[in-house]
Amino acid sequence: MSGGYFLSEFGRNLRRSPLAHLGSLFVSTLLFTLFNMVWIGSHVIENYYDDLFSELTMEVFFIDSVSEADFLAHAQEIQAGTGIAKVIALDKDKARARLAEKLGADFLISDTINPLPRSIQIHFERGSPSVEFLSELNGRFSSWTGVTQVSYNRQWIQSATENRDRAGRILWFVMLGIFAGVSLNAALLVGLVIRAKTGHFRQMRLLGAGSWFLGLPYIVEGVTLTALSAAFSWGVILIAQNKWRLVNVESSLPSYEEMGLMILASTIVGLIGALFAVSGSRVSSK
Amino acid sequence: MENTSESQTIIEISPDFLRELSSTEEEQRSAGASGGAQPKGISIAIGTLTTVNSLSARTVAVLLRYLVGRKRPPRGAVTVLGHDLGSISKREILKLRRRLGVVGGEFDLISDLNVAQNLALPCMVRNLGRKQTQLRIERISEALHLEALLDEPVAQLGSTERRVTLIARALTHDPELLILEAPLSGLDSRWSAVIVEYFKRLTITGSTALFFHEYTGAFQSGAFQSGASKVEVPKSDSTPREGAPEKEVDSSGFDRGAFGKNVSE
Repeated sequence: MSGGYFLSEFGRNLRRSPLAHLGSLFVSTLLFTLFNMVWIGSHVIENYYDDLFSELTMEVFFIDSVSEADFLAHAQEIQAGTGIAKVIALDKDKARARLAEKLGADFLISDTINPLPRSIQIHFERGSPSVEFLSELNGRFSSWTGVTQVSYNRQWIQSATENRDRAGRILWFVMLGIFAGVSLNAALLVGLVIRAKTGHFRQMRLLGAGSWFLGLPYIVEGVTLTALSAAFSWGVILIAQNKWRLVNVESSLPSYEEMGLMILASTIVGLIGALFAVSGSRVSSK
Repeated sequence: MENTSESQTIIEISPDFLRELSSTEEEQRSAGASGGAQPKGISIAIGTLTTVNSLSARTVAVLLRYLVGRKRPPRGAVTVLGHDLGSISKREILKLRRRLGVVGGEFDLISDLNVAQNLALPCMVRNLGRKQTQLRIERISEALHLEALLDEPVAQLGSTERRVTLIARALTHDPELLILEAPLSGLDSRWSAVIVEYFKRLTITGSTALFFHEYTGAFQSGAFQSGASKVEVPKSDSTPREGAPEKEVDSSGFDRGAFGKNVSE
């Protein structure tokens, strides 16, 4: 493949139909900006649910016959587990004080008789609690001797997880739809450029040019325009962020590496579109 | 060159196929279909310059499509550069076209390129380097006096300049086989002289060329016979084809004697 031919073809196509290229660049940039907003939106939702889940606690209640030493040993064992942020061992007095704090008054009649059980309150690391993880802990703790109850809001976390997953799936479908739109846009541009050069391709085929020789400049054209659109779209997002300083968005912005990966992925989207256009055109015909 | 070295035959067109292509009665007669004579095909050996004037323009147009692989003939009917075009793959057709230089039929210049860019195309398709391509463009443009036109957009060329550029493009990459349909057609005397002068060199370099409908007077005496191993004219035809520049060629000083041996008759 001659580099000169390659570059001059690209240049000629740009000169021949500048508005088509500009329009395609504009549409793809808009689509990618929408994609970025959806992506950031999905991060915001994920962060929101992570915040909610990090407030979740699990409490393991013990009967009075369990010795203090065993009780504290259990607390240490739980603390050593993965995904556990903090463990609070609540003896009977602390349990009474907590109840009084919650109710606003100490309703226990006797100062000597405290029916409240000892418990270990477990706080989780951010992002750790999942229905499966909590079920596994529940099963393990319940099997310990002296544990009367393991308490956590299973129904809430199950419902919240389902909602988060559903939102995530919808957003991914939207993102896939946008990618398909960009791919289609690249295919339309390349198809348009190729259609305008039917005579050119016929002559090149008569001279013995193969499909790759003819198609490659247009494939690179589609890929380059798509990658440029993706880069511009991040420029739009970063400018908007700098201008309006959106707090929730700032913490959910992808890293520069992720932006780079997205631009790389966009080249694949452009490649698919351009390949689609080239393979269905006169370029690959006899 | 692939199989051609064995057979030394660059083009082989079977008599039956040629007869099938010939649409008029006269063509059928010349191909030997009538009168019980065995029809003769076209067989062109390596290093020969051959003129075929016996076929109609329509037949030549169709034959050209077969010769460059645009249409597929029956197996064994047409062989070009060792390839049976009846069984050649699409990929091989493209490879074959890179070894040809063709003027006529569907072959035309690309209008949105300039002359130099058009001349570069066969070299680029053959993947010759930038330097090699440049050298060949310089060489052919010098030989055909196209230097002043190299930067001209093809769309702005006159029909004569366009024709010469097309001939130049067919020659740029030193093709193994030239197929030219009335290359001098429409050229004025100045350009005809330049082109004929260049064609004379083909005989010296041992090139192989097949001319369709070329006015034989343009190539007579010293033109081809000096270097060509064989000059074939399947049918004697001294009548210039419509548009052939009889007077113009005369004015450029070519002898109008007999044009070599008619070996196919």
